[in-house]
Amino acid sequence: MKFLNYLWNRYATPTNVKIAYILFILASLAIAGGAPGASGGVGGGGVGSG
Amino acid sequence: MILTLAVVAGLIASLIRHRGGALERIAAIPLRYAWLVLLALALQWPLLRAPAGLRQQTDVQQVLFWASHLLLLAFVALNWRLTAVKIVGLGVAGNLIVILANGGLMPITPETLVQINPGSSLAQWPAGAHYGYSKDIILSRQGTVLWPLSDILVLPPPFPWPTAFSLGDLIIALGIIILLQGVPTSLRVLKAESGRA
Repeated sequence: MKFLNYLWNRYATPTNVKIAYILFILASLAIAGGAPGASGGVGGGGVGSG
Repeated sequence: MILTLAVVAGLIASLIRHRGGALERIAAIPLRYAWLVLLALALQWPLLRAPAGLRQQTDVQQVLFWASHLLLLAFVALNWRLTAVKIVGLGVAGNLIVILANGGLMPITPETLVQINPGSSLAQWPAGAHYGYSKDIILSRQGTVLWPLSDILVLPPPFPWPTAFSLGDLIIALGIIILLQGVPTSLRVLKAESGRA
């Protein structure tokens, strides 16, 4: 816990938090706007194939 | 996957181009109403978690999926002053047009599915079914309206995550990469002044 507090105080500057927020939003935009379209293996071995 | 890679690529390109200033530029990107994107993703989640099956089994998920695009278009409109967001909007619109033209899901052909699922056969991908855990519906090329805008581009094996994607996805990826280069100084100054006001 102490170590986590140290990491937070050391790296969670307002700028870094803002950057992480923007990257999170853009990753969400990537998923919601287009991908994931279709990935191999994800569809599950064929429709109705069990 | 292809678009989340765009975020990584954009970040790396920005770090190479702007070195120490890259993170500051990214932090200064003035995205407004970003929560609309998160809400849109939340609305799509049920469809992305729906297993393969008949299209009719995902009626509710599809309605939420369409509603999510209204939120995405609103996000684009509210951030229209950013050129990169305009590009993202073009990609979203391209995907939305082909989705609506084909009844509400992104078309993908059985041939494309065989390409990204090596070892499977065309018979495993019957036309009209929802391709599980995706936004896609399986349609033949002849049965697809605006086929060039559908999921026709393929990253096949040995790419670690074989994927099919659309022209709209590529345009969105380009917009995200450009957006991650940060905003021009003039916009950052405007943002700083509006922050002080």
